[in-house]
Amino acid sequence: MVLGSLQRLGASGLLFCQRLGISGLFLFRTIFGPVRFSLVVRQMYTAGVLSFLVIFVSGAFVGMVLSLQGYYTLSRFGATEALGELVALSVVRELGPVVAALLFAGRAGSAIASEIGLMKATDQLVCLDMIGVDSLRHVVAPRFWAGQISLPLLAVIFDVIAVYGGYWVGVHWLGADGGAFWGNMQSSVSFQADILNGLIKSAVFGTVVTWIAVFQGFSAAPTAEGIALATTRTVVYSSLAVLGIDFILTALMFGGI
Amino acid sequence: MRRWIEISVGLLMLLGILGIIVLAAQISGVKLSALNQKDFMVSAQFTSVGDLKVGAAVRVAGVLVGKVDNIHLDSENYQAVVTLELYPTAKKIPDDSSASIRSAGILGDNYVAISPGYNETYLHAGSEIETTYPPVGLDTLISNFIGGSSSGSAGHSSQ
Repeated sequence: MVLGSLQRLGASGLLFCQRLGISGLFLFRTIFGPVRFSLVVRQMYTAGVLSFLVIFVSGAFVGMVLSLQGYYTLSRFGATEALGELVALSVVRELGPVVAALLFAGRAGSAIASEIGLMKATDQLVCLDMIGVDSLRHVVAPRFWAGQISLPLLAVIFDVIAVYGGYWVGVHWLGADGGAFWGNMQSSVSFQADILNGLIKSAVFGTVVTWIAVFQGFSAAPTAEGIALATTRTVVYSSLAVLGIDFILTALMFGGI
Repeated sequence: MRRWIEISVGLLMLLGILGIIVLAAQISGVKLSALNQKDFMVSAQFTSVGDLKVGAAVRVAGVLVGKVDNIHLDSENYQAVVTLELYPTAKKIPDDSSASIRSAGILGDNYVAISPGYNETYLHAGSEIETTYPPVGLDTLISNFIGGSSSGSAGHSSQ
């Protein structure tokens, strides 16, 4: 009985490594193959433009809540002029890339995974291969590049909306000083160290989230529950991967401080 | 339909690019002219620079006239050499002015304060500010206060 459990454990470990290797090769072939630009643009509409609303609204509320909470905590120390740098540094370094990636995984990642999974389940991918159209190049790669390009753009939009939302709540509603809000923010936010690092993070998240979505869809079991499993796995794995990689990136980028 | 798709994607990319510009200009305060041609550098030697950081403000009577460009250690007399980048508005500071390192508020960041002197000749590129005062640390003040009140005299050491 012990041997049986050990065997199952070993088999699942080997299966995990196998799937990881397959997904790695899959990513390699997706990235280093030709792709048609018009297909990418169409997918950027589905993944990027249609996610704009959720990013905008979430960004506004995240910034407003951060400003609200921050103001009450800072006012206990008489340091409300630091509200601007609190909101800006939190959003640009961490919340912008991570929350935008999580929302993107939930909205666009699940859409990509279920779309590709359905194409596989209804034999569309097989038919494409049979008539000589490379399904990787026409179906998978455009979606991958669309996600890779859209997520940094959405993260930047999230950052800006959140900071302005924080400004609106902090200065116009709670009464913090507007000049100190922007002045302290500008002197403490560094373009190279903070904003560029946030952009790098969102680019890495774009790769990871879209890679997981595209692979899960492509390797889904061609049944209804296979598609459902692929979609939920996309969201769960993407979220865990984003949070884990965020910790590693933060330690690498900001750990030296 | 296809045209609308491409227009909206273009709009998204435009918003992203505008967002980066706003992040640079408004949120991180990147100035387009990084080194103004008319700025000039002066130096000052301090026995201690405390918590002074590169980029800290240089002020005369509280008004911003420049920023700290570089801080390094002189390996011969073990003093800290601070290079100050002064803006053109600081053209007429007498060259016998003194520089001291103060902090903005009890927990605030350190900055360099220049107290103007009386000479008719002014600071120019490459001048050195001769008279400098290192920062007075909070711990020194407290120990002076405690030492001063127990011995009955309020001594002040510029250490």
